[in-house]
Amino acid sequence: MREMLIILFSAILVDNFVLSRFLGICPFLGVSKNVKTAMGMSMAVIIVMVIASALTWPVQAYLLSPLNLGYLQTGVFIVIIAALVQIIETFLKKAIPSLYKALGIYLPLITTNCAVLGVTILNVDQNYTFFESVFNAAGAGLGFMLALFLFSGVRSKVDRADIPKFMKGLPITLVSAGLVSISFFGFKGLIEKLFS
Amino acid sequence: MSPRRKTLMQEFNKGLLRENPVLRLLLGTCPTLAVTTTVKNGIGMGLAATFVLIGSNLMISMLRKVIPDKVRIPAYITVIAGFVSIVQMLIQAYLPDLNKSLGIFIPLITVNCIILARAEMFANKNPILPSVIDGLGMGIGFTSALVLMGGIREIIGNGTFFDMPLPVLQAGGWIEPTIIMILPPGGFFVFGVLIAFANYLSEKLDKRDKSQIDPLADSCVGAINEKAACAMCGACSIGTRFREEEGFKDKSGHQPEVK
Amino acid sequence: MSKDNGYMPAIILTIIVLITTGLLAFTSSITQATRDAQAVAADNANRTLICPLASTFEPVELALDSLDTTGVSEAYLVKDDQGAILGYLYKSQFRGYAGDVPVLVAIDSNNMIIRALALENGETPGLGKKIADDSFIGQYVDLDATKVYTVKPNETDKVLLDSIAGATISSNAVTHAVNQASALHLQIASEVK
Repeated sequence: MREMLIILFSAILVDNFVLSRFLGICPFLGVSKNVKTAMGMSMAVIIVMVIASALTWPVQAYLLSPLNLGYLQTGVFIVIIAALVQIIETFLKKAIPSLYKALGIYLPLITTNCAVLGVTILNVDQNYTFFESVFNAAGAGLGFMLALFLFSGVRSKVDRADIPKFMKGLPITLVSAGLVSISFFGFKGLIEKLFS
Repeated sequence: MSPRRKTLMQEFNKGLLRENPVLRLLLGTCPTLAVTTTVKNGIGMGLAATFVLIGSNLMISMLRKVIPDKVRIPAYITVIAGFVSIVQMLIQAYLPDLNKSLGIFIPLITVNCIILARAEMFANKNPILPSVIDGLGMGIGFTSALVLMGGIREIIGNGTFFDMPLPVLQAGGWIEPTIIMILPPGGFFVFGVLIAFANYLSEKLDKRDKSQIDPLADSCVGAINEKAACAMCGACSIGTRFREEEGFKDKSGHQPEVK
Repeated sequence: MSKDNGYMPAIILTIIVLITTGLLAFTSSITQATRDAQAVAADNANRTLICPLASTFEPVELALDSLDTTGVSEAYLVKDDQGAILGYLYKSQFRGYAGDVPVLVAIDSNNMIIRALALENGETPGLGKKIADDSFIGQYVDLDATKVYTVKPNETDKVLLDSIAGATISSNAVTHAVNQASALHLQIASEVK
């Protein structure tokens, strides 16, 4: 259990997917304009990440690795993710319309979100077990949410600041993302202290 | 074809600055930030993506009359994933050092918005030769942006260029290396400043030759340049088109794209 | 029948998938040998860096219940080209500032540490990454593996080594990894005798 917690917290704070690994930058910049959309997108990402990790792990362990089909990994994983997103979308639409209304618009964007494919491939690269993979995915998703949540707050201030014209919009957004990323340096070393 | 038919040279040129995929269209931001700690990585990533771009543009342009509209996106993704896996295996076999430093970002070329966006916006509407040229131009534009970022970060952050130490920038020289530049925050800083510079330059160019201004037919691209926030261009257009096909109407008036 | 009706989209998509898979299998088969060779070369590069005279690395079985293998993931019996035993090689890791820091440790049959080598890690460039510098990692050359080392001055029961200024956690990770390797080595060595 301790190992699981270490993986979870490392993925959230130390190796934050957005600010330290640079995965999922596109939605990070795209939907961080206000807290509501940021939360919607993050929820959708967390759900897809966890389920995608739970699905790709057995595929890799019982199909691709034993049959020596490693070269199909990228293709198979992206197909699984795309299909999963489609299924979740259809399911939500039929079963929980209210949730679909909240998350539905973000779901199609997730297929091309590199953080989702990234977490499934990282699970394989790190030789994680099934549960470690799921915890890693949950951590990655929560880390994504934390980064988006914090950053949407920063952005609402930055957007109203008086800055040079050519820095307006994305340039200043990126510079402030850099500052948020520096603040996450404070978490490094934390895991070592917490669990030793 | 429309009256403003472009020559092949223009197809090639547009990727370099005016529609530079990284600095103007803001596609493929993840690898741009992640692998540009050195010039070498930038070139490696850029060339790998260029190969995939040319290959997928070629294949999709060839198959544009064969692929049914309904399964268009899955077919593109299959083709792109195929080329990415081929590149991955070649890099593993012949460039192990590059494989180590690019790591997970090689398979992630599959979901690089640039490639899907070019397939969706260009290759499936144009003949083979322009598509290949478009892929080449976009690829070189991507590579040059990556090399520029890698160069700046490596020189300031590590005091080296192409792994060659620059004596004045080493510890003990005039300026100590500023390590933050090769750490994640430095990526954000350099990228932000470069985009600001590209915007400035592009504005100047537009003023100089007003006649050539492209009205940016694609609303998504226009939106990006205006609002400069939607980096999910490929995803945006695909997302909205999925919905149109399904007759999806969101009552609350939400759009997948942010303003 | 038009390409957009009935089963045609599915059929065409399947054909595209099959052709792509075929091409991948082909590329895979022609690059397989080179890729495998590269993987082996990469593994051996670090090992021969630490034991230049070695010619074979025989894996040591670590799954035995009698062994406490905490933190050590690989162990090898190192032999030179005459078949004489040069010592043991361990791959040990301990949590550093940003994730695990893996360290290769070579220990000879007289329980002396031949050398240690910090492998790829996520430590901060310019600070924690200095564990790879000879001024730090070189401290381990010819140390007694039966002793326990530390970089923290308050742990007076252990032998104190210099730590890197500003990177105590990274320094501690390497020291701890070496200690883990030594601990396992003493168990293995005693079993062999």
